[in-house]
Amino acid sequence: MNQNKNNNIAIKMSNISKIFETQALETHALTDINLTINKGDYISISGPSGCGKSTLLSLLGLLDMPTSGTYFIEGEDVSQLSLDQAAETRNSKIGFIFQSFNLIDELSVFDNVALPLRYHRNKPNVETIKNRVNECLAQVSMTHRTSHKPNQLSGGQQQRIAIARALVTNPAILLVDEPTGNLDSKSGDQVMDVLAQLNENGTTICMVTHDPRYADMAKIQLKLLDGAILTVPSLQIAN
Amino acid sequence: MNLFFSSLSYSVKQAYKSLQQTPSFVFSVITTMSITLGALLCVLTLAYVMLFKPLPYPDAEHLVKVDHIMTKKDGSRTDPLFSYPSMMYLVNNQTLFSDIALSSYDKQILTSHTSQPTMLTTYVTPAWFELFQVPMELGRAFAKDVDIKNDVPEAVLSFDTWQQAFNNDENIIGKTVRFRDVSFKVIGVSAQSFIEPQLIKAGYKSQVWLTWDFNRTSARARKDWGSINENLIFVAKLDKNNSTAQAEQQLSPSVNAKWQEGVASDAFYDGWRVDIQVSQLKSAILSNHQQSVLLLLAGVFGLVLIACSNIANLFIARMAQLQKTLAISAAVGAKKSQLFKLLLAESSLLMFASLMIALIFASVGFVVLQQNLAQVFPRVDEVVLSTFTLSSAILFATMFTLFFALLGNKMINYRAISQHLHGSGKGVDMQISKKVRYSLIVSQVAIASVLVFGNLSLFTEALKVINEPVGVNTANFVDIDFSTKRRPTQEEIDGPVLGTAIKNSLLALPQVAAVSNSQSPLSGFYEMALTNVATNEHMLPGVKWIDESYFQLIEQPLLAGDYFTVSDIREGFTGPEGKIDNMVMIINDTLAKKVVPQGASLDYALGKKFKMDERGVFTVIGIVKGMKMPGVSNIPVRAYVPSSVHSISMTVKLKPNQTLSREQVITAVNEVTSLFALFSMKDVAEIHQQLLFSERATAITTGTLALLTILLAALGLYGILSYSTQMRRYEIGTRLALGAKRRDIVNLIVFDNLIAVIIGIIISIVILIGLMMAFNEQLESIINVSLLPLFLLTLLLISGIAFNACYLPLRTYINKPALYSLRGSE
Ligand SMILES: Nc1ncnc2c1ncn2[C@@H]1O[C@H](COP(=O)(O)OP(=O)(O)OP(=O)(O)O)[C@@H](O)[C@H]1O
Ligand SMILES: [Mg+2]
Repeated sequence: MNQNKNNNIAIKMSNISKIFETQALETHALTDINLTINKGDYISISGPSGCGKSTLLSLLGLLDMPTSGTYFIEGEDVSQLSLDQAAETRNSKIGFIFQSFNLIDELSVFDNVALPLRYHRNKPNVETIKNRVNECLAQVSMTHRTSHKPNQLSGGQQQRIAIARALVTNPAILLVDEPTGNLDSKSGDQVMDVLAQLNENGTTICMVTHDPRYADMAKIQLKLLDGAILTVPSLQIAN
Repeated sequence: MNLFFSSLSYSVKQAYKSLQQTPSFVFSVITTMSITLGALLCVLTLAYVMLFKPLPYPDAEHLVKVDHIMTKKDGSRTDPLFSYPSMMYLVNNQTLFSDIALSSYDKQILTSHTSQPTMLTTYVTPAWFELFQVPMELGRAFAKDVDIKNDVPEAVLSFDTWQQAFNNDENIIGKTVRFRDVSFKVIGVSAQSFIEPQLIKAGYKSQVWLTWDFNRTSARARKDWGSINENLIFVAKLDKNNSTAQAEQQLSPSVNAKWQEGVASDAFYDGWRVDIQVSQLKSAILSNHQQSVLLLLAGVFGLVLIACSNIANLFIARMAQLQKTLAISAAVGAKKSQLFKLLLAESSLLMFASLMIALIFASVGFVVLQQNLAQVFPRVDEVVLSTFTLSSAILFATMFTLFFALLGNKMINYRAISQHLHGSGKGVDMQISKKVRYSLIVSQVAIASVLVFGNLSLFTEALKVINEPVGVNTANFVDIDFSTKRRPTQEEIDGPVLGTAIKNSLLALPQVAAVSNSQSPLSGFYEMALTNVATNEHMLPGVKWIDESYFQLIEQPLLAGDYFTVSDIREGFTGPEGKIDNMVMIINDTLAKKVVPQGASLDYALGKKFKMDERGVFTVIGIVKGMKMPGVSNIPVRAYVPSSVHSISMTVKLKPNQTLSREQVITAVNEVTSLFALFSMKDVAEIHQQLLFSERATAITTGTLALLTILLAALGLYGILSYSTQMRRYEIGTRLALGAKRRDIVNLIVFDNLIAVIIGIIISIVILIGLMMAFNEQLESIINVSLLPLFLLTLLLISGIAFNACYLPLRTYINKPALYSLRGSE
């Protein structure tokens, strides 16, 4: 496989397929996906329910392994990682934002945001952690309330904390799955504003969404249908 | 009423359906509960039979055991044993007892039988069968109204004897059986259902009952007031108007007065006194076995506690699982009481199934008890599935049912249910609160540590005794004893020495390597009074009569002096008759140390002289290293003196891998003489095992309890932790997504539960220290430094279980891509 050394490429997937095997049948969730995301891109993925959006996002995030194909993050081959290697790569290169926030109830806002740093290969010292966490909380305008517990916050606030957590290790890309799914429209708008702001400041974002209004906010809009990408504008640019 | 039942059956059906969907929950609850209930019912029934159940004889509450206690000049008491004349005097001079049953326990050869088996024969007075209302399979019991001195020799066979020695011979009645040279006419066979009162020791089963007056108390002993006999037992029915204390007060003075008269000529008994002790037969049979059954009961209650905490935990976890269903039921209008009914139905079904299996376990337990522990616990023959077992089974099952249903009900958080319905989306999963989970772990660890440690210490203690070397070689030895079938003829008395002849005929057998004319090293010692001639000091060592080859044969090391030689062996039948001027003795080092001044060598004891009553004065010629009797912790003072050429006790050493049958021995002896019958023949290894019986029983019970405890604790800890891990799967998934490695997650869960485990361990230490302080005296023999490593082992075991209970449930999550933990609930 031609290893692309182009420094501008954050993510490159080639011929990725994912087949789920259950007792009775095989589900071809993704077939032959080719996808390149450049640094600073803001990509949205949309499509009908069951078309494979979440599956694609979990492969991008190394939460699951593809059945076939190759995958590079910032030029590094991540197609064949062990569980622990994948964890390390997730920790340093990928930031997740989930539909249901996935904050840990027992931990304070501060500790939730700091969590990825505690799993970092070179665990930073207390001072560095403190500075970095506050920096990220500032980016989502949540510097007040650092000692609250997540369930003392509104849904929109929780999602902003989740975004701060995703940013804290300076990942190559933010992977976002239906960030507004559990929010009312006002909080949803706020969260989308934060994401747009981040992209403006250089953060690469790949977001799955149903909402055409939010999909339009992305610079590149991908459509998935039955496990295949319909329109891939960036593909021509990359090759 | 009808409505109630239809709604009940609806609940049961619902419960059945819902349980069908959680086979692992059902399996865990039923396994835990049935094992525990089974053990509980088994031990409870045993305790009930031993402690409370009336004896299975008519008027059982009026049955008493009468004992004869001698108090020495110094105030110390002898064992409660009768002398023959005291017993007969009491029988003939009392008015308090309506029925008296005397028994004299004995062991003799059934010489009329081709295989000459040795049988447990019990001589009983006419009223014996009446008093215990012995049911008969065939024939009749002894006639009740005849005089105690009746001299018609009659025999009643036990059912087992009739089956095993007489092949269920329907025509046995009227035939004769011969013990030694007395022929008894068989008049009956007792029924299989007869439960013999265990008067002499636990598990004792007479094989033949014989007419009282033929008991083998010698003519001399029948008149000797000072000679007590451990085989004589006096049971009677006390008149309803008298208490045992009144009976004692009334009987003691007259028996004492008569006894004083009887021993007046013997200065030895100056200042002695006799008292009659009358005790309830039931408590006499229970005697000192009470403690062991209470201990067992405590162990089983510990198990019950662990099991309850296990099942409580499983129910709590189940409630959490059911929350969605419950929420929906509540939403469509189910009331609290209806939900409770459902829980009750579920818990009833589970307990009912457990109960059925538990009853099977308990029945198996009863058989195990009867076959293995009959000598440890009296009356185990009466331990059967009884009304008591069934009613306590129902009681406990009902209690557990209600407890678990109420607990489950309490765990339903109705507020959380409504929140769940409104779907606030903040993850209102109804979790067990951390506090509840922690206290479950703490209690589990504490109880398990205490129980496992307690059982392990008893277990290792028993094992230590079992494995303790005796200090002599006992491999490949057979202990053989003969008894006379009849009085010897004058020719036999004047003829060649039969002891030597028998020894030679055994030696001629091809399997036999060597024969010593002595009882085997494990057959015990006779306590004899010795007087140190030089210091006039009295001692009571165990004495054994042995021949010149004994020590070399069993490899008992000589520390000083010499072994006996052939010329030391006595020629006469008994001591004084074959009197020789220089009688010799070998003593063990324990005795030697009593004679030797501190610091001096053992050789000092050589040449010392001891007087053994009228047998004469013995000179010490050798000192041997003491041997330990199996099951005994110390080595008492012992002396060995030469046996007589006439001795008919043999210890036979077999060649390697050889066996010797009774028939071969009988044939060999019959070639030499017709005077002797084979009385007993036992492998020394078998005697060894029998001596260790109670240790083995302890090892088996404590080992089983320890294993059950470990099993239940492991199940319980696994239950709590796998549930709590399952509840945290999203958190685990999130952490994995954020880059936690597998080790991070394992550490997280382990450290999270570590505190609970440590608190549990601390509580167990506190409980153990408390127990040690409370039972200091009883535990003194057990408490020592070797317990520390054992305690550490226990802690290691419990911590190991706790660690695995943390780790194993995690494997599902950490060994798969992170996505699987993050995915929505199935
Ligand atoms: N673990 C799995 N096992 C089997 N099939 C799966 C699994 N995960 C996803 N699928 C299947 O793969 C296909 C794609 O699923 P995916 O969750 O990616 O859809 P989606 O586009 O995110 O849908 P939605 O918009 O409803 O979230 C579906 O047909 C789904 O049933
Ligand atoms: Mg999806």
